Amino acid sequence: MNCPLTADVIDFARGAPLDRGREDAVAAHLPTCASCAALAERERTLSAALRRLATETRTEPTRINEIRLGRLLAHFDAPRPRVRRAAVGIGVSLAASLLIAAGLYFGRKNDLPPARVFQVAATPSAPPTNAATAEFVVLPGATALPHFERGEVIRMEIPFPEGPVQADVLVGQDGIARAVRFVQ
Amino acid sequence: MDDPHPSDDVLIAGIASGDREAFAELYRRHRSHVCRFAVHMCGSATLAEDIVHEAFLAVIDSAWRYRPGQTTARLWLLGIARNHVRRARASRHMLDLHGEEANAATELTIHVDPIGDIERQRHLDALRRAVVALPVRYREAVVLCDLQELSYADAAAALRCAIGTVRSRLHRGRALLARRLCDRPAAKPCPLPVTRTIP
Repeated sequence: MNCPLTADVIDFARGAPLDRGREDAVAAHLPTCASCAALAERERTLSAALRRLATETRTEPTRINEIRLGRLLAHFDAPRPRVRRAAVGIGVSLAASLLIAAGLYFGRKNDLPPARVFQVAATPSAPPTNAATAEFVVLPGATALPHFERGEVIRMEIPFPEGPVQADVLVGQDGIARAVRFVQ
Repeated sequence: MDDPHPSDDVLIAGIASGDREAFAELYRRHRSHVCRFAVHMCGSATLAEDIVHEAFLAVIDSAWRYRPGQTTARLWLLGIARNHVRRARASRHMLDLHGEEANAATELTIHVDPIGDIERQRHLDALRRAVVALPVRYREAVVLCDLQELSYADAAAALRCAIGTVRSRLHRGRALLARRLCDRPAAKPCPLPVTRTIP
């Protein structure tokens, strides 16, 4: 069944509301397409059978239903654990609030800008003997390292073609260099 | 409950605030809809009664969740019943319309013509069995749209899916029904005309 109007034919045959244009298209199509005409006939027969089934299964309230209602009303009158449900709700809300607060706190802690790290590093407990002449420069990849807590500044000589250059290297608590500044 | 004919929304609000008469009225109004849906979905009158009971117990406990603007009471109740049908289906095997269950199901029906046509009744039983044998997604669409006579939009709201999904599931379900009814090993010919394809 490859006819493009198949779905509309089924709706048309089962009496489902179609917009005027589609309804007219189906009505005009059916006499010209034996396949769709047979499908429409089958769907009409099926719809009639389903309607009969729906009608015959229709139930009316009876004495038995009233007895069933009585049982439900007994449940309705029984004390329900509303307080417990409310307590559970409050508990869940509190837990969710705590989780959100913790997430925000740790999330913000991890998002601290690297500059702050090096403000701490710029005031080391044991400063080098010669005064620094430049700001610390963050080494590539240092921002991805674990959070800087404490460290030390190590003065070292870096060989250059023009001669050795002194530099201060800021080393974190994990022994990994975070930043460097040239002294001379 | 001062209004002699309160709306469903008022009744459900009353249930949420502990009005037992509101609950009784809602039960009387909608029990048959929920029961028919459950019978057609599970194929067992006994199981359907359990589902109706569970669904209305859920109404007592969750009336406060009902949002009047978002749905209607009937669709809300059918949605609750649908959840219970699925739960029942998951927890135990759905019974088929055989033996005692079939007899119990027919007790629910109203025989307008008791002398009636036996052949017609046989066709209805075959149809009932074919509906119950459909896969759940197609059965839901057929039961809601054809047996409960809901519009596509209402069925989509009850099933929480798109209108196009309901439509395609219904068409597929009806095709399966037609095929099953025509394939049944009965002495009588298929009651539905067979679709022919033009070469």
